[in-house]
Amino acid sequence: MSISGVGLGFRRDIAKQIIALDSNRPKFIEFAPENWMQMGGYWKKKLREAAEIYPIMCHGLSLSIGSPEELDFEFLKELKKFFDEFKPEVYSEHLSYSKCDNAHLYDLLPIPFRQDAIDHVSERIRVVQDYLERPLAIENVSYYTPVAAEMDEASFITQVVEQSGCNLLLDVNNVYVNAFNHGYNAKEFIENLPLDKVKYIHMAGHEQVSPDTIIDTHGQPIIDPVFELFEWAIGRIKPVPILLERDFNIPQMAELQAEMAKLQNIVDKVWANEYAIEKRNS
Amino acid sequence: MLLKKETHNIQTKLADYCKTGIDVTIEGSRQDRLHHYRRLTYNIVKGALATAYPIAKKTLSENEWFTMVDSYFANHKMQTPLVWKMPFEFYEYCKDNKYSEKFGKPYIDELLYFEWLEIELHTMEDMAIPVYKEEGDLLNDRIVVTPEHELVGLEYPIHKFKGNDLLDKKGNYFVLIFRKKDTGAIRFINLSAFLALTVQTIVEERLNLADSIKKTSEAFGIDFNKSIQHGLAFANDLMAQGFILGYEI
Repeated sequence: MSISGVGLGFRRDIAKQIIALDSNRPKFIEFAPENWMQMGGYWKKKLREAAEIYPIMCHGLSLSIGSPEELDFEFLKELKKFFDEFKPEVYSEHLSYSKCDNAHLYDLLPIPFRQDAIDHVSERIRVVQDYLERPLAIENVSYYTPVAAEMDEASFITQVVEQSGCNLLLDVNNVYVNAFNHGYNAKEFIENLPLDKVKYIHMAGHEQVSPDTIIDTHGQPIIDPVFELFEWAIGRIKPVPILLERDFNIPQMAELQAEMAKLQNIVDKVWANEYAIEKRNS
Repeated sequence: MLLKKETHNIQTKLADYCKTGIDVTIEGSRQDRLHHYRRLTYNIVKGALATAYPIAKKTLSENEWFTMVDSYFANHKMQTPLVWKMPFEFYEYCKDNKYSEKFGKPYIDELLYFEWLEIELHTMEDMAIPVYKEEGDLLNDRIVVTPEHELVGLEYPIHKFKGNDLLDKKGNYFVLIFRKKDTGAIRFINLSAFLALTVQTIVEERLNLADSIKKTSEAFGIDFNKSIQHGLAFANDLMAQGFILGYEI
């Protein structure tokens, strides 16, 4: 992996600012291909300008890897074409479904934690990886209720990763959200994941909407307990790129830069030795 | 298919609940939290449609707007994986379900289409532009125009008037909408029927301006010599505004 350090989500609201940054730049940018595919004109021009400056990661929204129906090969074809142009270092998607009964819903629904779902999703991941000729990293998603679960979430994720041979995108905020919402221990959960397969980490803010429920909004700054969980988690993982996600309620760029700097300081502290080894070996 | 029918059914039940909001019991779920999924999915669709159709939303009553949105979300199977393209399906749904008749607002379809066109022309993939020269004879050389454009014929002047003011203005209106090559911005130009046909023959039949005006003048029974100066002034304006890029080589 050639990308390291802290990146930032490339959103239209801040696209011009990210392109114009001349200091404290993110180390890379990430965007959802679905928000830029089959486009031309002004926005495609902006995306190309950004791609000239920054390394790219792509984080998908509509693959719907957990759908109970056939994969959309027309979509995969378009995705491949898009990747041929923008050459993302990592393509990641959510371990969830957003399409069902031949209808897109555009948000992330929880897959039942069941063995047949593991077999089904793993097969689909293998097909996608073969078709796109690149590995897929799947993200642990936040969920607000389990649905007909026959096992715990960590077992479900681990088996999907092992059976499909895909990588893992560890979203630390989602672990925090789920641990809070479902009353489990976040650190135990992380320890039960296949951490050697983590190739990418997401960090974001959330919103507590009731005494026992947090919604993963990406609309607030990261809170201290999530920073603390992040510091603890990356001590168990080899260096990988870190993304700051902010999709709503986007603040001034200086505030985002400060959040990125805070993440970078933690990364530098925890991974100092790893970076030194990498540097020596390169 | 490795997925069992039972698991498939459970997933379908949750998706159906998101679309309709009709209470459902899903085994092994927390009933008190299911509503978050309905709210989150609905908000995405509702937000995307409000962003795509700000004028239609403002023009219709809240009840009318949400009748259309709720029915669309509950009954239509959204096909595109790209959220930015999804509002086009809403336009088609509203047209197919004849909301303009149901609400006694016959301009709804045109209003939705007009708003969608602005998005489509602004965002659509770049089209190939033929090689052209910037210097030429505006009357006699064949003209090259910006390819991302649409010549729209309307029954209601939804680009000039609002709401019920439109009802007594049924007629024939023409608007040229195009994307400017340099900035990507969208421009709208009102056209008379004469000028609309002139543009159409330039684009579709690749006639030069003089021949186009001649053909249009014949169609309208107008003296060519009287219309040529008017047409030339119009073409100069189209060039200044960026619709005409130059001349074929």
